[in-house]
Amino acid sequence: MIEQLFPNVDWEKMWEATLETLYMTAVATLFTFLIGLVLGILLFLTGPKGIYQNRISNLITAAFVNIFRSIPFIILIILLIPLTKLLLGSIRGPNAALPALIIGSAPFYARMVQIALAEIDKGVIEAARSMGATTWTIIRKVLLPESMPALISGITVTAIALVGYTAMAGIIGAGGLGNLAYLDGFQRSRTDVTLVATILILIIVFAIQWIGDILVKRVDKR
Amino acid sequence: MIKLEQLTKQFRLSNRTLNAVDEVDLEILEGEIFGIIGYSGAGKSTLIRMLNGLEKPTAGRVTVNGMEMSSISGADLRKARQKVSMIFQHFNLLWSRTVAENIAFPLEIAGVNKAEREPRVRELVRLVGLEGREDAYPSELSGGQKQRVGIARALANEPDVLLCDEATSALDPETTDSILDLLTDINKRLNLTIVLITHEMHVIRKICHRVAVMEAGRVVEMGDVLQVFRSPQQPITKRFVSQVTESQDAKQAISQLIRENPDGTLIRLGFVGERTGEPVLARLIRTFDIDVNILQANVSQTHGGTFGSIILNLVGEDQAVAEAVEFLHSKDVETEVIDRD
Repeated sequence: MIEQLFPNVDWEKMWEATLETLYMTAVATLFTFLIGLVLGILLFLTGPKGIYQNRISNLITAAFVNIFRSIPFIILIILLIPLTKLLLGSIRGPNAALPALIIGSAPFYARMVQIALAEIDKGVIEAARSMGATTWTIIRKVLLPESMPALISGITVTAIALVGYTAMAGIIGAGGLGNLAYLDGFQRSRTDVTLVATILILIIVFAIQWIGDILVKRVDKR
Repeated sequence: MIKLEQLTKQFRLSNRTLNAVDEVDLEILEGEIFGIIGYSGAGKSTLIRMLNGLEKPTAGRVTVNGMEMSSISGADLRKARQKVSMIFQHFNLLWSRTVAENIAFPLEIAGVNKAEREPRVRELVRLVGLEGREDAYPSELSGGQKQRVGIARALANEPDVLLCDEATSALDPETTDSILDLLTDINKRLNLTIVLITHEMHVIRKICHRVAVMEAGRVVEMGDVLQVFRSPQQPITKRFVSQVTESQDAKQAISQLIRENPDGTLIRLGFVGERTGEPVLARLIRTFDIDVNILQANVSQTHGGTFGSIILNLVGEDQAVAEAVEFLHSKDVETEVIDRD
């Protein structure tokens, strides 16, 4: 049955590509989360009305975020080829896609973090200050827990965007389902391969959304 | 305990500077409940935030318990803040923490270890009457319960001073009273100095020992609550006092009566303390040949004693009415002739 429907699909290859996509998405999401969090907190604290108002570092962070957020991903990959080569010694394979994936999506997530933090009730931050909390304590015990639902739904959206980016990165040789769909599916006119790869990407996206929704529900006590 | 000297805070607006707090001198004594009343924009919120260094004064000094809050910063200021805690109009609890975790928060900030935190939290929960709600999240609590958590949290590090920023303004009248009772209780039991700001004279009347009235950044009147109630000097103070001594209905009834009784002299009598029981009215009626019409009467309980007011309409010969007013003055009863317009 399956053989008839998808005559050209090499399931072993397909499974390998799925794992590559999952690997790229997971690692890139992890680093995006960490870097985006740091940048977002920096933007929030140094911004107007922040606890550590600082025009210069705010301008620098904002400029960095805006520039890398504005470059189309496919161009970013090409621009980062020298850096990737330097870091990993190769521009092929799943690891080669990571620098571009992270640099492309961390600024995007940083803005989401900034928005999430701005949504926190100012009174709660004031209360923590009135108790004598340090900025570090405020970050750890007020800003992060109080914005957790928004941080999680933000990283969910970002992770889903990253699945799309991995497919793009795949076209230029990073492996994964995008690569398979393009090389085996599109270029060799095997529509069934493209179709299966698409279905697998959809399943991954739905799974990420599902996990994200469950986590948000669990942490949101409002 | 708390001393404000020429305290000034200016905010630069786009086209001018605003003196939010303008050369305020105040002294607040240990163990007292001191109220600051004013309409919104009077500067009371800015003033109270300078007591724990959340706002820095433009000029002048704030000293709390020997610590000059206006000049210290960094670790010293954070340490000092643990002894000058604050509760808020909107409670400002962390929604992500349970009641017990919220109360433990200032203890975590102060570096108290877990083993010592737990009994302390239990004790505080009991103090504010929230037993059984330790594991509830703020979203599951009523407004009054949230403020109780706020109070427990504020008391966690055994402060010397409790600042209350419109702490009852978001609560209904009944809950307000129960929170005010709790504050009075804490004040007595822990000998805690309480500074509160409010726009409700009811709050001042119910728990404060002394009150300062603020208008446009300045303290325009200050004194014992009973004294201020008995003889408010400034127009704004009179307006605040009338919040609790005259209900809106009574005001309407009076203007109705003025219209219905175009003759006579309207008089407001203020009684304080023991004199409330003396039969001044009976003697007034018996001694003078006038008709006495009681339009309104009420008694208020302040922290320092009882305060009553009666509004009378005296109808009769001009001479007799004048003598009657004279008689009331001689009885040491606050007497004020009300304008008919």
